[in-house]
Amino acid sequence: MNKKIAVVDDDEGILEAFDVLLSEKGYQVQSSSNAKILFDFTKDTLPDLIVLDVLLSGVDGRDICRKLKSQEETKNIPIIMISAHPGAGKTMKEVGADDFIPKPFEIDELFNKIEKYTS
Amino acid sequence: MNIKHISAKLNGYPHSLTSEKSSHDQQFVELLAERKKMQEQLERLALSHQAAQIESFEWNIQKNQVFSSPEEKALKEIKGKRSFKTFDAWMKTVYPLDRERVKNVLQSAIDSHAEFDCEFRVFWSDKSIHWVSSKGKVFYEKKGSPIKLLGINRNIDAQKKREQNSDFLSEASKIFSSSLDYQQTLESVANLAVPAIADWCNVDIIQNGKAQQVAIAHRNPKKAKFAKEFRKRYPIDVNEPTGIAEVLRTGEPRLYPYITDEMLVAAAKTKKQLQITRKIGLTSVMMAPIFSQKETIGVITFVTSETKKHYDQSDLQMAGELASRASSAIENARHYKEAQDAVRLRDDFISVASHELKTPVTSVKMFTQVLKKHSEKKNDRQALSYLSKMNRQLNKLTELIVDLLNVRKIQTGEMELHNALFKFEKPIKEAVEMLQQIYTKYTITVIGKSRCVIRGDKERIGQVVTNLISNAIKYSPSANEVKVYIGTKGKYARLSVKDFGIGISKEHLDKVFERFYRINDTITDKTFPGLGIGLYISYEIVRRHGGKLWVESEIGKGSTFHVAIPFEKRKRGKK
Repeated sequence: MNKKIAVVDDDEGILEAFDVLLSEKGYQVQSSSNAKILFDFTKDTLPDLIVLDVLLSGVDGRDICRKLKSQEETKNIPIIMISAHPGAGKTMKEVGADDFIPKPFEIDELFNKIEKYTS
Repeated sequence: MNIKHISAKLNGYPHSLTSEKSSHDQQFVELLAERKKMQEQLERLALSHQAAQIESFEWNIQKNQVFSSPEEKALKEIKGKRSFKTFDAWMKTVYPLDRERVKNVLQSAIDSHAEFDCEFRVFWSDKSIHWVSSKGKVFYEKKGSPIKLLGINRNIDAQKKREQNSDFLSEASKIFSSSLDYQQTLESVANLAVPAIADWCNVDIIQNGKAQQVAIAHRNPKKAKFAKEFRKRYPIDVNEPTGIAEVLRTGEPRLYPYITDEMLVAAAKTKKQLQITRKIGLTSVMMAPIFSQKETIGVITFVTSETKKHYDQSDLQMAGELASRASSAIENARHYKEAQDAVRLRDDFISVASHELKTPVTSVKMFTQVLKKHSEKKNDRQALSYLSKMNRQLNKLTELIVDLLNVRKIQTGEMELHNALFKFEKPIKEAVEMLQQIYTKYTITVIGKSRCVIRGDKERIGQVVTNLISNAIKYSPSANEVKVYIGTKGKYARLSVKDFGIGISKEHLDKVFERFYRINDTITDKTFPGLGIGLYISYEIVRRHGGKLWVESEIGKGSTFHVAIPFEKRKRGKK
């Protein structure tokens, strides 16, 4: 079965790129600029991995991460945070994220990490 | 002897009124005439002393009698008054805080046979306080005991006021120049004036067309609070003919030496306001304008109430001087604030800009790499080659963005360096490995070794090495090798990056580490791409590790960049 990946980033261009990138690699992609989708999952629609941007419009991605990790339904879903801020990586562990990738990135690097957390 | 005759003689009546000529009468009459002459002279002297504000005095030490002046003494005797005070009685006319000092100076003058020279305050008969400069000389008996002290007292009120004003102004200048904070500067103006020259001081600045009270000081802090409230309730109308509004309009200082009740009535708009201003008890007011670029932007108001001092022209002049210095200080503070805001804005801009720039670069890079994979699959060599170039350019773009951000960080002191121990060789070897993979046309050779352990930021040092090697490659378009030497010299871990490229001419040599400096290849007249900040950042990083970065070069032959960083320890390994 195809692995499901949820992507949340406030830039449309990046979301489009993720759609193309991940679906070509064989993943099922659910992408949105609104973090709300991360809290609307049903048992059937839970993703196998979440890619989450740190700087979202009006919302801090780190708070979202913290919240997801504290909820029973979502706490076991691996989260990879992404950000253009070079220093953002340091605070990832504190909020419970499993990994971090800086923008821009090599797609192979991304795939390696995804495989690591979805196998 | 007939009194009438004598008085006639004294008053210059003709001889005819006198009768007998007896030598006794003659002598006596002449004596009286002399005495009258002397009296007139004394009165004239007393008057001139009074005019010059000089008074001579005599202290008969042995008899404990102080005479305010011989002419005064003579006059008083003629009038039948007691002409002297005891020393203690005289001391009572000296201002209490000065008494001790005056006594000490007197005693020391007597003991050391030196001149007496002292400045102190005295009470006049109307209880007003005045400054006096007193100078005198002690006279002694043959056996050395002091007889009397003769001297001159001079009123130095005007001089003292000038001194105080001058001290006040230089104190003001000092305070003004110590802070570039706009608000602080204004507050310090008010606080300085009270209680030195006023009981109350306000600073009003025009903001949004209204006069806003931005600073206030009062001798009595409770009253300051009250004054603030008062202003809130009765704001200044800039159209008023007099007062602060007038000064704002005309840019001229104004003096109201005596505040009368009529003035209060005229200025008050409501009964309540009049009541309050009466309660405050204004004695004297002066206002001085504050300028900024030739425009009046505010007013400093000085008020006396409790001390009942009345301002005069010399006070107004000083107030004007104070306002002028305050204007400069405020101007400087304003400029500084604007500059700071601009810098902050710029720094935020760079921070935001570099973040924003990375976003589109990210999606473009993602699509480029997807296409790369496609062309790999389809075995489209051409497309693959083009897309690889595109990807490299995107990496360069990313580097430039990062450099931009790094420069800002270094400038604002935000660049945090890790503080950890690492092997000097490690970041060097990692950088060489990575760059060798990218720049396959060049051979990067590592020569030598170092067992040094450095305390600092391994990643940042790696950044420096990457920068030096990339530069070496960038500036060797016709060469194909770069040599990297590692070693130890004295207390330093040493690294040298040698290239065989275009080299650097003597005039550029010490400028290469400057921000934004880029070298021109004089032969091809091409400026090498890049923001020119790599070496600037590298220099700073090395410096912050306590080390040095420098270069040796010969034009046309190549360059060698040297790095020396003090090491914390050296591992002695087995061969």
